[in-house]
Amino acid sequence: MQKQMALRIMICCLCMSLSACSDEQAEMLAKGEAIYTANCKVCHAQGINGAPIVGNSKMWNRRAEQGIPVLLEHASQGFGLMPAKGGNVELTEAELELAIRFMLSRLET
Amino acid sequence: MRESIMKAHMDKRKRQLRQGLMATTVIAAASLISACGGEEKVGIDPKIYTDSLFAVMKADRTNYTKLVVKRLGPAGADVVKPDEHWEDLPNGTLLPAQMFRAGAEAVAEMTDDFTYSLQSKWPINKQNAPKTDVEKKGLEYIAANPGENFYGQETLGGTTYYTAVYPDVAVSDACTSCHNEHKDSPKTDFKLGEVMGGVVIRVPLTSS
Repeated sequence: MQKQMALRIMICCLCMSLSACSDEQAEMLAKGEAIYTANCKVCHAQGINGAPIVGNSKMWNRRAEQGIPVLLEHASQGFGLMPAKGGNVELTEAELELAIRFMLSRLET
Repeated sequence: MRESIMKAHMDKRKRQLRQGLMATTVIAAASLISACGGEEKVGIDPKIYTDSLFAVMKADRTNYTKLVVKRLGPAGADVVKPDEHWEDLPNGTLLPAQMFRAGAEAVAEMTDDFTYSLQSKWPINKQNAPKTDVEKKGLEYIAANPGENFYGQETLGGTTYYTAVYPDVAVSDACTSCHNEHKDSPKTDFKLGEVMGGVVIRVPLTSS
């Protein structure tokens, strides 16, 4: 009886922690989307100056393969025709990463 | 008496059958004729058409910026000088926006199937200001909604057009500094990433 109770409590704790993780992830993506909309969408929604279009696997896949640290460096320092931080020097590395993760989340899996 | 009535009835039936057969033959012949030699016309959605045109324009302008202006200009090999007054310089070359306009002029000499132009609510050259209501509405929309396009229809000179407006963005300091410092610029506080104007592509939907 006690073992069953302990098992139920463990399962409840596990479910709660999993839902907390997904809530946190949703919140991070929402923050990333806000940063993207305010700073990156103007080029990345349209492919202006060769910017990889959000959701376009053909343009993003080889970039995604390079990993977040490389993409973050490109966004932070500027890359090709992209100005550093998309032109907004106030953006922090943490904010850039949120925006990058949001853009990557839009790729079809 | 009865025989003559029956004969009249039979004659009437024969006449009806002949008329029915003739009508069927005519209808069948007409269907065959209309089915032969006529191809089903298939059109392209105007939005796909203008989006495709803009994709080519974007790619060409990007490549010109990357492979000529950046590579060969002052920031690269420094063998060409991209300048508004490029014609007055021995090694002058067009700015990307000027290259874009040169393309539009060349297309206008070739065809009436579509036109395109670079316009702005804040043009250095007033000729590039929007003229029609759809152009004005489109430029306002894309400035207020970064990353989005505007699509509409308008009737000009008896012809109905599909008009698409795509954003033209300040993608480098060269864009903002030139416009902000230009004596004829009505706006002098452009920022990097801001929509400075728009590409207007117009396709006739009906003939005048």
